[in-house]
Amino acid sequence: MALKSTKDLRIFLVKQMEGVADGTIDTDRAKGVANLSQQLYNCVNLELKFAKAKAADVDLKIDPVNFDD
Amino acid sequence: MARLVLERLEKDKREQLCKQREQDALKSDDGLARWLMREVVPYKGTMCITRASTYNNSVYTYQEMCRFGRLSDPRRPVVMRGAIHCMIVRHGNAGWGGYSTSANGYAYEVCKRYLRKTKFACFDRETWHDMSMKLGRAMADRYALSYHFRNDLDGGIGEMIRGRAAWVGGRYRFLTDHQFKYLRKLHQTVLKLKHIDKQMEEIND
Repeated sequence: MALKSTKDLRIFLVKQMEGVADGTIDTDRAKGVANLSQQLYNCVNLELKFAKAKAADVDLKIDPVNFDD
Repeated sequence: MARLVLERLEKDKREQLCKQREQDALKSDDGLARWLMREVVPYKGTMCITRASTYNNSVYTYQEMCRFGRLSDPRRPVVMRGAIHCMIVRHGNAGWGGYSTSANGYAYEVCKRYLRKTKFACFDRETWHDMSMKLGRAMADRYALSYHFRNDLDGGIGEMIRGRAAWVGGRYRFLTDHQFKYLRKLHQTVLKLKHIDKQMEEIND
């Protein structure tokens, strides 16, 4: 199943939850999925915050991070 | 408060009317009415005609027995054995595993279906209490339910959700330590994503 939005991700996670509760998905896989989903949530949350900041200030400019400095 | 006072007044009025009717019946020349007043009124309120109440999935032996004070009770109904079960199912407050047509049983099954369809998951007592109160209020506004329904939904299942036991996927389950830990983590992520979706909808609107 291709995950295209947060809604898809939620559906996927609920299915995983049911699998873990039934015992069809082992705990190692559950641990991996839980960690990965947390990372995805962090990314989405950051994007949302950025979108909010951008909407609040039209002239906002954020330079990319320069690793050379 | 005003509603309670009005209900109390109505109850008093009804009682007065009943007393007046009894007095009129005793004074009248009607033999049947006098007999009824003499035989039936002393037992009024001391026993029930049909068996009722008790909690979900539980119908005890004493409910199926004919429990009347005297065999000569004029109110003793003549029913077949199978009909007693029908009476319990139709009029009892017990849910009886989804087979009951009473308000309590119907409401209980509707709530369980709602929880199953909304993928509700619960890992602690407080969350369950909040959800059960919300559901209970919504159902009680529409149907005439007794306190057995609330006891079943809140106390019955809610008391069991403790330690490593949880409500997941429309069912009550016992989980291992690892299962509980990762399920809880996944569930928290789902809730956070749901919150983000709401925020996104607000921004788009």
